[in-house]
Amino acid sequence: MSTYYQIFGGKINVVSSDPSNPIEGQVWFNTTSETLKYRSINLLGTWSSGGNLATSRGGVAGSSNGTQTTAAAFGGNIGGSPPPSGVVSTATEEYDGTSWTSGGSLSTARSYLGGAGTQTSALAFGGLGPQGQTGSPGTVRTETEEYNGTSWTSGGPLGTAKYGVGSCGTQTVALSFGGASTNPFINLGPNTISNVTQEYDGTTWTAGGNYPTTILGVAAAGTQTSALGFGGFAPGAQNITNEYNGTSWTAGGNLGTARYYLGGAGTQTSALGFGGFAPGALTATEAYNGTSWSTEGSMTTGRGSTATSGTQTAALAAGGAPQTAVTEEFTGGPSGAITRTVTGT
Amino acid sequence: MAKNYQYCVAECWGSGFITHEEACKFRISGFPGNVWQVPAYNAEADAWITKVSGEKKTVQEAQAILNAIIKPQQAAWDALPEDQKNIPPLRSRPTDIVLPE
Repeated sequence: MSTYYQIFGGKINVVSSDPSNPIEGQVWFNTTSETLKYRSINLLGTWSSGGNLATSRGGVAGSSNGTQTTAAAFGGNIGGSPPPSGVVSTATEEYDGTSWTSGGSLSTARSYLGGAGTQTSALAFGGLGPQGQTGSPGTVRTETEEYNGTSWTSGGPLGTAKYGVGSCGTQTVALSFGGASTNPFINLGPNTISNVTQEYDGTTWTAGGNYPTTILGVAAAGTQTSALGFGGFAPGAQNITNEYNGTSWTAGGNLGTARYYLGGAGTQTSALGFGGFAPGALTATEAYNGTSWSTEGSMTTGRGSTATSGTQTAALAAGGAPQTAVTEEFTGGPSGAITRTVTGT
Repeated sequence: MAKNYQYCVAECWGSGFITHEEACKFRISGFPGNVWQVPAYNAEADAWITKVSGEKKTVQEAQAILNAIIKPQQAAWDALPEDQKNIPPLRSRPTDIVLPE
């Protein structure tokens, strides 16, 4: 068997601390940590810090068709121990790639609502209203509101009140699917989970092709006529993916990690899924290529029901539950060099 | 056995707290209570802790900070009426987080 010296013409350095500026391909043994390490190209994308939201909130929606540097976050659930509480927000915040500033308030306070569109042309619909039983989230909402970058005005209501829907598209060509129509905090018992798809034309919601399963807390990417739904609660965390063509849904490749209330960004054939619950908060990130999911670099902070925006290679996650104000920005790989530790026996 | 991670407490101020370049070089994980986990014996991670003015904690100290947040949430959940406890997927008992060495 060949030795390392025979292959590379040098010995592995034995050091007490990692070299300060290792080069790609460099290998060393760290006597302090008793580990063999090497420097290699990092093929995975990474998450870095963005500006914090002014208000920590979970169940918050985003302008899902916006970009990483131009997005809006609206609604959400504030505080509560254990969460979620019955205190829900009307607040809208706008992101410029560095910081969030206040925008116009929603007319109807709600959490776990649907979000679509862009920062200056956003759509909010459904959700859970304030203060139900023992301070828990209240009535399920039907209202749709449209944002012009300054204020919200009423749009056509959902045919059936829903929260926890999958949502994507633009303000005038949006898609909603799945969700639940009764609040189990009030109507004690299991969620009434839906498989209904609805399409918005800027004025009214009409029925589309039913989702293959009843699903709640499902993530979405893409457009009204080329959408992707993935993960969700049915009940139990799901790993399923389904693709919509404007008429019907067909099965796609399964997520590696089953979860619900995860974030989604991108398109039907180039999507990113991140975070979520199973039931603890997750950091796992996966990328979809139209056929299958592959692992990407994990989020820094585990969370679900976050506001999302952007693309597969430049995504945004803001807020989420457990209640946080933290924003993270995803940059697709490859992303420079990273020091790795050799593991195993 | 040598430790794999080190911990600090630092408040995330937003943009620039974790840069893309830093995220490329080593893994940073955030936990409740502004507790951050980075690799041990890693010069780049050490430099990040200095940059964010992180207060270094032992794993036991970091675990105590997490417990001080999670245990009251669990107690509040335990005190709920039975019919308000398990409302999947919106509410379940807050889970313990165990930090590795």
